[in-house]
Amino acid sequence: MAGACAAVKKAGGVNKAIYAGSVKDLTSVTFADDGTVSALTFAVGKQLVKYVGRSAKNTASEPITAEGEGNVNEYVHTVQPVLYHFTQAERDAIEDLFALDQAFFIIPMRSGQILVYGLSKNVATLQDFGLKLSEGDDAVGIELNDMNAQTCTMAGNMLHKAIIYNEGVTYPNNITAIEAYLTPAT
Amino acid sequence: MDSYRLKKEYQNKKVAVAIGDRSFGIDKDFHTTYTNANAFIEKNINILSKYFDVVKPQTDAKNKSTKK
Repeated sequence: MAGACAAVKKAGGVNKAIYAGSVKDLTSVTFADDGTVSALTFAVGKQLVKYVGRSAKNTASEPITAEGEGNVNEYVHTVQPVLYHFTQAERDAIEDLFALDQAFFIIPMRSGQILVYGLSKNVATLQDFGLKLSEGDDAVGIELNDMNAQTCTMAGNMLHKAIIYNEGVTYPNNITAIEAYLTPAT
Repeated sequence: MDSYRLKKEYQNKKVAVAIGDRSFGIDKDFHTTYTNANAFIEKNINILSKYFDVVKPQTDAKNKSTKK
């Protein structure tokens, strides 16, 4: 077991832009020898989708259910984006996200780290895991400052913590690599 | 049947490849993990050609030339 203090004095929190996809749309996931995700391959016509919200709104967590009487520790990958919308296309995109039963999220953090929630790091069980909608609301209030946004919780039981995405090694290169997946695969 | 060898750029990586409704791990141990690995690769070559090179058998002519 090893530890390091690299996380000390790093900014906390999730960026305002997050990326979502369906595990079923992936044809392969490549892991580097250190276990980080180093590449994704999508089926023809499939892609990632980017949701841009506001800073200090999106959250993610991975509460643990300890082994107890069972055999394994469960890590509940939980992503709670706040999805702002105004056009019909944006409302439709929210419905598309909620229709997924094996979603995964790539979430850039303010610290510069990028995490993948919902992807199995066991190569033999890629298609057996993912996140799905557990709850959400889009309440319209009476205050002028009420937000026009859908809240939701996407969650799934996993056998490990979220995985680091490190295709491009540096943060800007990683974002560039992720943004390339916003174009449908050919 | 052709033989296949993991491409150099994947020697230090592990790839989860989805084929049908299952996923398979592709890494340097693939041929020892799966029996009939070459047959499996050949059957799914359209997906797996990205990860494996075909290993061409040595020609008979070359073998004969070395046996004088």
